[in-house]
Amino acid sequence: MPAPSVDISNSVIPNPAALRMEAPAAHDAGHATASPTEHGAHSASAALALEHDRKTSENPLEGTFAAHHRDGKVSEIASIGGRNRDILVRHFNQFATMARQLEKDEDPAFFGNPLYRQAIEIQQKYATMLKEGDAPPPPKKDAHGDGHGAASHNEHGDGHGGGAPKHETFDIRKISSADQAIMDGVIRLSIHDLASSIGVEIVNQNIPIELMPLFGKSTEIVPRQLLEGYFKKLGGELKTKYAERILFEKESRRDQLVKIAELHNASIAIRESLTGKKAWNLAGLRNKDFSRDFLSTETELQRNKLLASRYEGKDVSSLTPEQRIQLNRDSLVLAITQRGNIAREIISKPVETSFGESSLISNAREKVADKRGKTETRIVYKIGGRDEVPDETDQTRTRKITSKDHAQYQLDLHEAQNNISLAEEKIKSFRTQRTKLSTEYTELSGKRADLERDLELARQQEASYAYKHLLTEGEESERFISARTEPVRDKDGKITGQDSSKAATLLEEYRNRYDQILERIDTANAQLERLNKLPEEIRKIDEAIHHEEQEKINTLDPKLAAVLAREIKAEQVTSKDHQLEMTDFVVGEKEGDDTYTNRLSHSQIAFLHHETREESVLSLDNFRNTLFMVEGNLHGQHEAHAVLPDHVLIPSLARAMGLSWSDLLGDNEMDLMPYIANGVINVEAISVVVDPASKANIEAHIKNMGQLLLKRLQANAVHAPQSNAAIGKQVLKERLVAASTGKFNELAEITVKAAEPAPVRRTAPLSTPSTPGMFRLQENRP
Amino acid sequence: MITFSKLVRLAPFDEETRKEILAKEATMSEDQKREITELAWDMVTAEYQANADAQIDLEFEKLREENKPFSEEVNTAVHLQMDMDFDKKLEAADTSEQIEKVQEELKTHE
Repeated sequence: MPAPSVDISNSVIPNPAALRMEAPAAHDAGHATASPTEHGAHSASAALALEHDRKTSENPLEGTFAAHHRDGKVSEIASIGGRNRDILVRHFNQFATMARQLEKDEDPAFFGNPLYRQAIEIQQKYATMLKEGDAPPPPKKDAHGDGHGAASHNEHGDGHGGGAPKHETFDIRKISSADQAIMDGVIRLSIHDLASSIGVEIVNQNIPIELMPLFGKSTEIVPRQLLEGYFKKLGGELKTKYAERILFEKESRRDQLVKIAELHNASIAIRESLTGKKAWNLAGLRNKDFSRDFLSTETELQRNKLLASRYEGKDVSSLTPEQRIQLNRDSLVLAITQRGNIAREIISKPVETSFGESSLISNAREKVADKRGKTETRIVYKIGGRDEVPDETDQTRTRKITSKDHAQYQLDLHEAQNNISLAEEKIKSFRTQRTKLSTEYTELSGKRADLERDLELARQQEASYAYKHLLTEGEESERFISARTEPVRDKDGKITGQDSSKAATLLEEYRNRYDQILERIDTANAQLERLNKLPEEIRKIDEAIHHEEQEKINTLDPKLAAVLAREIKAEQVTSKDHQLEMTDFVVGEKEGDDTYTNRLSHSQIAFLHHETREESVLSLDNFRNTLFMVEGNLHGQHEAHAVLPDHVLIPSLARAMGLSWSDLLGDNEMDLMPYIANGVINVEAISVVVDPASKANIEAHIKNMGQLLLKRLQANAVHAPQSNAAIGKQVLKERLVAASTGKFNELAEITVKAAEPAPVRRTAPLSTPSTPGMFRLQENRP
Repeated sequence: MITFSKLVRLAPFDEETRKEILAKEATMSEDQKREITELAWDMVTAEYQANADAQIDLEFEKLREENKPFSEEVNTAVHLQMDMDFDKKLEAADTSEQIEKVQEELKTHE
């Protein structure tokens, strides 16, 4: 496995200025895949958009901060004027009127989509502003018979639309943001319905469709051929209520496209107003962040979820056009319902109505409800009363003492005690031996004089032994036997043989006597020699005893003492359930606890504010501590680490930054993917890697990933602190999701319950893994 | 610690919504406050982004008109300005919150 080398730190630092400096190249690149028609239209429209932005360069949201406007000027929230305003009012009213009809007819569609009721409510709420647009007359044909010559993208449009009705009383600034969101939803659904009914889809949801005359006279409007470039064909059509309502099928193809384009441009105008972001910036570049408004994000989320539930394992591109149209529509409806409900519920829901039942916090509490009030008995391992030790890999941290530590301690203790026992046995054996030697020495010493005397006597006897020559010299022996051999006679006195037995017996007796003398010499010699050697043997065994004793005193005893000093005691403790403890840490212990809300505000301001934003990302620990508001609380920091350990934090950060595992793992992807499970790094799998080199390499790479992500956070703190605020928000939200599912050790996708009539609640904006173990945040659309 | 009411004053809510939220604050549940807090921070960060973009756009436009290259100093200056603006907004939200508290106290003594 190659050493970790991937460097992603520079690839993500938002640097809008740098982006803008590359304007021409980026612009071209941005349209590299567009059709020639689209490219031409956009190139031409870029200059117009630039001009448009010169006029409306103030951030629309700054209107609410007039006192702090950079130029001291009061700029109001961007109004939606001219043609966009007319179109918006007309379509909204048509949609609301259709909703009323559906309600009257008791059409199931009405009850299946809360947006219809919301549209009616808004129409009633802003009746004075919208009444003029109620059931408006169809647009009059202008002198050139088209009625669509207006500048749709011009928010301050001057109503070039000829006969379009005026709605002077309608002012988007007088509509609350919650209701603007619903209007946005209505318009988007109308666009979708109209486009689907003629089997098309707008190529780019975030770029206005240019309907201005390109050159010369205002009568030279965009031809149908050029308009088609903004749309792609779906290969099928879908009957929709709204298209039926406005008799859309009776219009010419060109008029249909123009109508959708106008509505699309009006939708962008609302979204600009809602998000405070421009679809185009001064340099004529598309605002990459523009598409990341709440509804787009939610729509994409819902689409992914629906896709997964309806067509498991399939990609959108593999669906039939009809399936795709229906999927898009349903996801849009779901997203609108979500978004509209959130805003309306928060602002207008009666206070006494519980919000919590389906919220993540309530889910989290429900998950551990059966554990509350109960205790669990578990074993806690402690050293000197503490249940944690310094982390071996990072001494600035501590970690909990585990059963593994306890087992290791018991092994160490056994080994130390066993070594001492062996040493003591050895010393005891040596001492026994020494005692024996000492006794032997005493005894022999007492016999020394006798031994010496006996030896001397024996030597003399040996020297003077008379028959020695008979025993040592063969001839003498033969002669002796021959001289004493007697004839053997029979009864007649006749010699029949020779008898030497008496001689032999005698000679044997001489030999025995001589041997005995020699043996006495040997015995005395041996004992005297033993007596001389014994002091040395005793000295050596004394040395051995001393050595063993010293070894025991100097090495073994201290080893045992050291082991005992870190004695790990296993204690049975009765405490809160661990899951409950972690859940309480994340969402607070009591109903109505504002822990999460406080943390959210604390971390957001910490990541944004210039006094804290850099310190909050000095390390992953700092990031985590800031997120959980435990900067000065050691116990809290341990809790934070338990609910968001590094092996979860790293992928969670990556996900919030829009990085895939491929981005993170780089060249090592194939080697490291086995150590990824449930969207997080699988530390258990890594812990059982046998080869130390491989293990070290894996750990090094993971550490490196963490450092690279940290670098990005640090770069963000300097260049785009709002990115860190967004990242922090998502990571925090993911912990809330983890608490609601009870799986703190996973980065699971949030599952959506079967669609309920209403109200539908918001779910966290998490991405959908494309393949198991992989994740990818929603990217800015091209 | 940034309080709920301070956040509501900081976030770019429309005035009608802001007043409504502040009026209901005392009777709101924690869930409602949390939802609004989340929404408010979304808006604060969106506004921060939008302001940064607008500032950079203005600077960029100036440089282009003067035919000068973009430099890191410009970026730093923009962010410095952003920080000052943000501080001012926080301060204003804080002041506004304090004034309101004093006004409430005064009411109780009337």
